[in-house]
Amino acid sequence: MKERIKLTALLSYLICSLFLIAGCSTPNSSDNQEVAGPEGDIEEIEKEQVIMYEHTDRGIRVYETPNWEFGEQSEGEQINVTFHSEKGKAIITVLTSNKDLDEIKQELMIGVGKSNIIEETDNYFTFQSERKESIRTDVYIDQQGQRVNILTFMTPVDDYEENIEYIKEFKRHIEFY
Amino acid sequence: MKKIVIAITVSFILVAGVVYANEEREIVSPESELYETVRIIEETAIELTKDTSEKTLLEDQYAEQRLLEAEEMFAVGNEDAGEKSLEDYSEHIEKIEKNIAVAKGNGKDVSEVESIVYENMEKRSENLLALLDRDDLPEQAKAGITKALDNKEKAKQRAEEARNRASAGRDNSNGAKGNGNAQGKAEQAKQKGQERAEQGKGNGNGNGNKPENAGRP
Repeated sequence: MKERIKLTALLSYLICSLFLIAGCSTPNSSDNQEVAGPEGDIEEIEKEQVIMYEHTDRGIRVYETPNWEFGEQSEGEQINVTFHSEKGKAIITVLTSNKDLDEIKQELMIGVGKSNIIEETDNYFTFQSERKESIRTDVYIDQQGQRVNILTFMTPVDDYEENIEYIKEFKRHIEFY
Repeated sequence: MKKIVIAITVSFILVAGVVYANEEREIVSPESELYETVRIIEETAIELTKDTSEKTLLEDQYAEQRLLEAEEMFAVGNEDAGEKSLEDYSEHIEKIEKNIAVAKGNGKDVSEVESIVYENMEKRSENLLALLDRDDLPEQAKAGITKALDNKEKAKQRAEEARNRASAGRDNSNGAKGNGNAQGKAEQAKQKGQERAEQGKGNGNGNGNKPENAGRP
């Protein structure tokens, strides 16, 4: 008798548990299908991967990035491509040269004029111009064998804090191959 | 004794070599692979600058660069690049005049900027005249220099007119009290212009200051 009661209680417990599991999981799974099912995921990935600019010969690819637009491309011995956001500008430069990083740093700083270095590492340096309306320039240098990829961001110092996230986001959307 | 003399001579040559190298680095040669990038950086700096006076001073700084580039290119026999630099120099001067006209049109007092720009143009005219004297210069380049000198003359005339207007305006508003103030300010502006021009010679020499919060993205 006792065994039968135990068995009935166990069965009841199992049935209740099943109902509970089913009850909790059903709405969620339907939500997932509607919002981000397998097809939705693929669409989202494809949407993220829309190419805004590509130069196959020089191996540059830039994916669409919120708040950034393609500007201009100038091509000579080296290529320069510009992109702009509301608060600043990005310049992608690809050099095929034997210039070392110090030479590159020195020449770019001369271009900006009188300026102060704020931070400097082997592959990155940032400086701002000594003017009433000071401009901050962040330069990232990536050497791949004979090729040097240079990424330059220019922002008015007053707008820099607002622009940091835009810069980070844009950097994530650039590929050199 | 001989050893000391030799050591001093060698040290002098080494130091002179470094200074020359640094002087050379004041401009980016138009033959450099990075030249185009540097020009885009210049354009962007102007684009991101809102104040017309500041824009004008940047144009003036870049005009100086173009002239130094032209001198270097003619010196090494790259006439095409020299002529291009001279053309660009004239474009900077035209933009300076345009900016000043726009600022004046908006009722802004730009007499100080005009004085600085005028002082710098005056100094540069000597370089232009020296270039013009070169026998090996092509005719087209000479025409470019003559045009640049012509622009300088116009700018000088306008700056003088502006100073006179400023002086007359102050005299009228201040009466006897204001006597000599405008002239004094013009003198101050001249002095500032000279200082800036001297500072401009040290272009690109970063001081290496490192604030605590660099904020690298």
